[in-house]
Amino acid sequence: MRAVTAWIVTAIVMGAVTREVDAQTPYRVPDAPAFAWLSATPTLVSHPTTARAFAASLATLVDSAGRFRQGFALEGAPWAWIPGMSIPISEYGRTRRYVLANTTLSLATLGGEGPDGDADLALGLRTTFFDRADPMRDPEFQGTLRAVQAECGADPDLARRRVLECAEAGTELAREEWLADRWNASSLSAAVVTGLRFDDSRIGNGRWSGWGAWVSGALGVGTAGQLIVQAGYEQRVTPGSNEQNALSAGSRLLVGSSTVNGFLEVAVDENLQGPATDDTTAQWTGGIELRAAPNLWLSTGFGSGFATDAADRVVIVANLRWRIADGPTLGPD
Amino acid sequence: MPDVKYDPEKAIDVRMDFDSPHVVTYWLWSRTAGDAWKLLATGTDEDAVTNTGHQHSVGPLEAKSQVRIRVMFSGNPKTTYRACVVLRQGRRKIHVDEWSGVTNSKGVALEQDDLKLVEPQ
Repeated sequence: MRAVTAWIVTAIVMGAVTREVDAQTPYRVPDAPAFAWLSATPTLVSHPTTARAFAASLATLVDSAGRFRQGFALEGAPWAWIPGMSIPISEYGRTRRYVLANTTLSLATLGGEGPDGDADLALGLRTTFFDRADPMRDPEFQGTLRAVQAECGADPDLARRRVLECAEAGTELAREEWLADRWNASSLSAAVVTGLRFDDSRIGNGRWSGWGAWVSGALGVGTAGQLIVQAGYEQRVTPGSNEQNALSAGSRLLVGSSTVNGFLEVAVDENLQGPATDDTTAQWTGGIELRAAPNLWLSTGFGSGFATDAADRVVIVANLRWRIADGPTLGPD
Repeated sequence: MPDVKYDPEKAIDVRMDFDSPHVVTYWLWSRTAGDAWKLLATGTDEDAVTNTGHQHSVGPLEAKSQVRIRVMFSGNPKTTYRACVVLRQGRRKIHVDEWSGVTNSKGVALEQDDLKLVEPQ
């Protein structure tokens, strides 16, 4: 009982101070592949939602001297840049429309040292082919959201901020309830990225610097199990040095619920070609995970892979080492 | 609050199009100075008269009326939403709102516009 109390207290304390981070493990399909390729976390990202805004954003990519601007970051849904394109909710469930609606493009630049440094540019695409845990496909869930909207927005005198707060709370609650029974739903996502390097950041001095791809699939097993398989591949080309080809793959079997589960996972990282040609690491891990709060997971386990490098924090409670992170090491995308 | 020139003798046709995969509810209210808002029309994405379009005829509205248009979007977080609202009298467009953006981290977005109807000089 004392151990449980200690754990609860620890969870509350750590939950209060744990920052929300975007955990990008090598196995996950990144939300913005271009940013992942450049290992960048831009603070200012352009999100154009019309063709005109997209063109205006692109116009700022290169300066008047023909050099790439450093720190450019853009992310958006290409369907919205196509004039006349429409994907109403009534057509969201159709496969082609679904894939189009869930495809995002990312574009980013990262500069080298000094004003004449080289610029790295990355262009990525990410898509979800299907996701049974997407509540917007469910007409019943859509009806719940309409009821929330009717309740929150019907008073013309209610301040805009209050209307939004009401809708946010209702939507979040509805989504949590809907997802509680579908935590182990099947899904399939993928992403690709290509990179270019421009000497002196000049637009005419470009050369290919590599490509990468990620894929993530989740398969629901009954009502209390899920099998997740994720893989990522990168080929990086750097002049004057060997090519870097790396493959990362992981698989995880979960049994439990959306808040508590037992897991068994294996992960393999292999350097296929490069300076260290025999650089293969394989790890396995088993254990349990508890969701203390949204974006706060505690896990304890055993095996060669129970490392803490993916964790935000590690605490020792009841003689067990607990890893604290914003999500599972391998989770559905 | 933008002025919208209109003919107080004629009804106003309101056309709305919602083009993104979101659940949408909208409201149109009007009022004259000192009065409470009066609901002119409301509906959801389900009530479309075409694939994406919604049509209402409201008024005629008194001179110097105010009109409030509120459109709420709910869907997946950080997804692109898009909507267009056109007010017409006969064949003349008297006002157009083109809204687009990205839903917030909860999957919600709210657009609202207040208009002041004025007679042409």
